Amino acid sequence: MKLARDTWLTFQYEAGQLVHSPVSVAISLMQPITYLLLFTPFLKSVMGASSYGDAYGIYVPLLFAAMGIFSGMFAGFALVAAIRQGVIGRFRVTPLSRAGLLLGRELVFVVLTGFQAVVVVVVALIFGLRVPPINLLLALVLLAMMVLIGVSISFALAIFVPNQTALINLTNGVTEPLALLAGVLIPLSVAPLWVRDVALWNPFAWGANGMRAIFQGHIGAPVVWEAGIILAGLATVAVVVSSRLFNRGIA
Amino acid sequence: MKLARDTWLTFQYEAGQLVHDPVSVAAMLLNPVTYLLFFTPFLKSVMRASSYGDAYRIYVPLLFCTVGLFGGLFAGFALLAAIRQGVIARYRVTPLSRVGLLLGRELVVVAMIVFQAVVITVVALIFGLRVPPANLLLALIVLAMMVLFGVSISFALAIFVPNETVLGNLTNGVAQPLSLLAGVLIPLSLAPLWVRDVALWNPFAWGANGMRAIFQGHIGAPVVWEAGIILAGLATVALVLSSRLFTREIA
Repeated sequence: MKLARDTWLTFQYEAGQLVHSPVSVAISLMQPITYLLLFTPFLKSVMGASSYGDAYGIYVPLLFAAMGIFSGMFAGFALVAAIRQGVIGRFRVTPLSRAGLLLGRELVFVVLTGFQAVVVVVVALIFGLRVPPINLLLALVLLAMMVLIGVSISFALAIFVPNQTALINLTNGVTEPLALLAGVLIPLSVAPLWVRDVALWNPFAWGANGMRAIFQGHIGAPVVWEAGIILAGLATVAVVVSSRLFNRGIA
Repeated sequence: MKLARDTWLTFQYEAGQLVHDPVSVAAMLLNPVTYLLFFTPFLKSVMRASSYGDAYRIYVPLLFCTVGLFGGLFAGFALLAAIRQGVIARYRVTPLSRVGLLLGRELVVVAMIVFQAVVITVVALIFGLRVPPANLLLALIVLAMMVLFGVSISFALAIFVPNETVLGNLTNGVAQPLSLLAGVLIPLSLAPLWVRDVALWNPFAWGANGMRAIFQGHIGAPVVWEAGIILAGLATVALVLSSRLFTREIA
């Protein structure tokens, strides 16, 4: 009960910070929208999609995956900044639970990415995407779990590697291959066999494949619940491990 | 004569800074090499290339274009940092010509990107790329002009907008659409007609198409010399304008 309340308090505070800087939220949308508008035409051609509606049906879940992976895995920089600026230090003297302090911050990233995903869908709808609300909701649930995994990993890395430059190189070196091997630009289904074999070990690839099946209307496909189970399991482990680390290392 | 000597002195100093920081040079190679290794398999499938050699022949020129475009357009941040740290001001009290001061800095960026392109080519050669040395050299010349054009634009922007955050957003907002509309991920030749029409106005798309023709062995194709003329003209104009601006505003 106390954990839930503390998480909510931290979430509220962090979300408030975001709401008060709408410009930076708008800027974080610039790149996904650019890709949505200017990469989809290329994908439409090479994937042989019959209409832009079909092309967006292919690309939107991949873009979800890309946003989930990158905004999750780069979240640690905000934590490093908060530690440097003494924000965390000032929260430590309050009776807030440490796990709540971390969880609230993680959930803000989940909600922010969910919001970005909704904006992306709205823009895609204008250009011809059609997706039932239930399917969209299910895809957003998978996305949320992907972000939770990414944020937890990134927070753990940030606690271990408090050097900004080293953290950037490490995060880049891990995230780019993970994203490419999740098929965020061209779907995994058309990739060579060895790539698909490697992708079996990439949780984000499960997320991308699951969301893609959902957008294609195959809500009951095995890949959807398999992705759900894998992501839920990993997200739980990652959250627990990262909050232990946070308790010991920082708070 | 004096200009050439001053340019060379500045170039030497700046290149020396880079040579003493091999880690950051290596870190810059991380992204392009990751894309080379993990994006080419996807491209091979959708482009129906018969071998990895063919796939690399398609993707390496596109990757050249990517490193050239981003390496050039983001160079302004280094100039901004040098202005802030007082490096430029300390040079102003020397008899070095102002234009040489700028040109030396631009040429270092060109040399760096060409070095990256050579490393990319070496890695691709290991994986099956075959390209005659003369063709590679010609592609590198086209690349060098692209970078020179990009750096000049970026330096001019950095002088006009001396705020890192604003400059970052502005540069991103320009560079991302330019790169996608140059077909840096999937070749323009496959894009829908409207994209190819828009790309006619994108100098970087000319560069990408020119380098692609060169890598495919069509060294005498019209697109090659057309790209050469367009890029040489634009690079000259951008260079003159940016050095005028630099002389007036900074030095």
